[in-house]
Amino acid sequence: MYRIIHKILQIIWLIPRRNNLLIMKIISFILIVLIYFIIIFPLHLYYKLSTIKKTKVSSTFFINNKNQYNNKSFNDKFI
Amino acid sequence: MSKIIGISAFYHDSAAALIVDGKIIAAAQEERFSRKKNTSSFPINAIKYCLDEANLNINQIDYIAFYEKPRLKFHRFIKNHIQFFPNGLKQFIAGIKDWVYTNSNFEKKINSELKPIIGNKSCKIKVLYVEHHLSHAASTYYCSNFEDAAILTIDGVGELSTTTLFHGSEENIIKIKEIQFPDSIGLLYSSFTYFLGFKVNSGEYKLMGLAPYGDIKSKETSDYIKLITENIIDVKEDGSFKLNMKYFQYHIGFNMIEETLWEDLFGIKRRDDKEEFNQRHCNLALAIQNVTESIILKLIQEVKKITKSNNICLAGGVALNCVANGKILNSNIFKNIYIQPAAGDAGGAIGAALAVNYLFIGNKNNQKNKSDIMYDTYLGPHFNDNYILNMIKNVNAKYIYYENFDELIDSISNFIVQGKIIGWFQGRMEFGPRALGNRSILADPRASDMQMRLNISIKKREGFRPFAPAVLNSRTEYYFNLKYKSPYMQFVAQVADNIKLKISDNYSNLNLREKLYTKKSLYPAITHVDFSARIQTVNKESNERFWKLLQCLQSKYDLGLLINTSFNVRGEPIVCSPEDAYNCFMNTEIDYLVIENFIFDKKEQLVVSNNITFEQD
Repeated sequence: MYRIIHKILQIIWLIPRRNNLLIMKIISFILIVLIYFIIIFPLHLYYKLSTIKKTKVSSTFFINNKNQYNNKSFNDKFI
Repeated sequence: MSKIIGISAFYHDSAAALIVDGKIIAAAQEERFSRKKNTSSFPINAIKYCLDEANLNINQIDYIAFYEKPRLKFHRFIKNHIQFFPNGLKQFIAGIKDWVYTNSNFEKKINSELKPIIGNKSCKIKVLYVEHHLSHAASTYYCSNFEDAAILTIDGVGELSTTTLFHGSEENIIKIKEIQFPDSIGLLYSSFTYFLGFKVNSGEYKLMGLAPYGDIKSKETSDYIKLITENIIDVKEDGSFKLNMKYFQYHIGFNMIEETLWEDLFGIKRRDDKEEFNQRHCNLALAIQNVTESIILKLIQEVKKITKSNNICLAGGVALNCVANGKILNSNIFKNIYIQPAAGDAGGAIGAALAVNYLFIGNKNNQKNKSDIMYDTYLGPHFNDNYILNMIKNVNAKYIYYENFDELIDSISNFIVQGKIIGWFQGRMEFGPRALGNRSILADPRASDMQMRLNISIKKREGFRPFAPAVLNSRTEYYFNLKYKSPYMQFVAQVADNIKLKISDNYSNLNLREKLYTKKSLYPAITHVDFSARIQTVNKESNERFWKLLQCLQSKYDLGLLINTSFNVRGEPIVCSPEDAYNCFMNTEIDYLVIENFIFDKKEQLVVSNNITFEQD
């Protein structure tokens, strides 16, 4: 999911760089705002719904994320 | 033989380190070369220096280890906006450039930044990415040389983590659990730094220095502690915590906090940086320091419970809080404690390279015979007599050269007890935020006006800021209640009873200025208002010349300690070269400058220009 969002934003960001007209900058800006509402908003709703389910009170705020590092742990990638 | 360059860059405190076969050959912060304090720019000068030090060229390097994962940071960026929609639209638009465009091909970016070194040759070095908190963990664990240790890293934020518990065993490091952004002790502390009128990312230590002026017995301080723990942060018994994000802005905007909510909560306006401090500011500083310490101690207990190790390693910007470190030491939860001297992001350069060496390549530790592989932090550039003579010629300076170092320290010790202020420059530059006797300003701690003189005339900084003592290892317990070595100035301890002076019964009711001017010990310049001091213990093995100077003072004048403050002025990085040192000497009221075996007397210099205005931080 993060990779897809990254790709979309990258393309939108690159529009005015390829064609430096003011209209392109405006289009790019509008698209970024639209992405915020079209992609981020539904994900926000999903996040809200999933956190409502987890109403039980926990005794910790730690996230258990046990990880043994090896030679595959040194790439730069999205989760 | 693996040769790895570690880099930290593009946030703050850029640095580079060179590791060859597990040994740290060189490390330096970019600010020392660029002369821009806490610079975030690519550490090209630091890399050049590291290569020169090892007599290597860039295409002999096997890997570049970067101290974080850019794409994981993008993950945080989006996750954060999903969580806090629709509050972060402005930040979302502004952030696209950094997260999507600039960081989209990081390997290409780093290789293009290296162009000034590579030139036109076709050379592409493999870049490896190390999780930010793993960089911190590796920087402390591998340097400690413990065979087994609990590791705790706490800072503002890495990619996702802000606090991480690790377990180190032989060459392996295992992450156990973490707390993720936006919940962060570092950012909580920075928020108070901002609210009290200091600069975020560089003013945190000033907040720590202000806290002792607060009155722990006052109702106001306990009310502030209560307000913080009931409204701003929820802390569990295991030390995990959650921030009430309605009080903060850093996750969605360009400010740290929701100022109006803070002003309503604490009943005071955010302090302007020019505004005088009052007791309420001091009490609030003390309250947040107190809350921070209690969280850290709970985290320490938790990591002990999980790992059952006798050793603890700490890193991350919060590990530079030496008052909290002193509390950890006194808690006796762990038998041994090691704190990476460059615990902040600069140290991540060393950690990233060491993590690649042990966890990626799988090298075995061949440094086991050493107790600490940081070489007492003396990992920066050094300058020989020819270089110094050339500098002298260029600036037309007057000097005396001492063939015999013992004669030099004999003269300098006389100047010190006469109340003179000495710029002390020798050997390799320290790596990390502290000057440990190679790029230092030294003075007699007995003079009651010395703290003011140094703060106002030399360092050009706030008058309330305390100075740290460098003390002979053998004399530590005479002057301080400290049973352990503190070679990196990382622990705060109380001055010993035999040097304390009796103070009035209403001392705790005095205001900031009155407390500051009260003579609290026989060594007032290094005794903070709460009778504490941030101590550097000096022994012969770590810095022989500096030790000899202290030893000379001890034998001649029964003075086994000195004020040791970094050789810089407010807003400037610590000096790196003899030129930097001479400029600083000529533009402040430092009386004598010592560069290796050369002594410069201010009165003898031809041109004294006091026209440089230093940047205010």
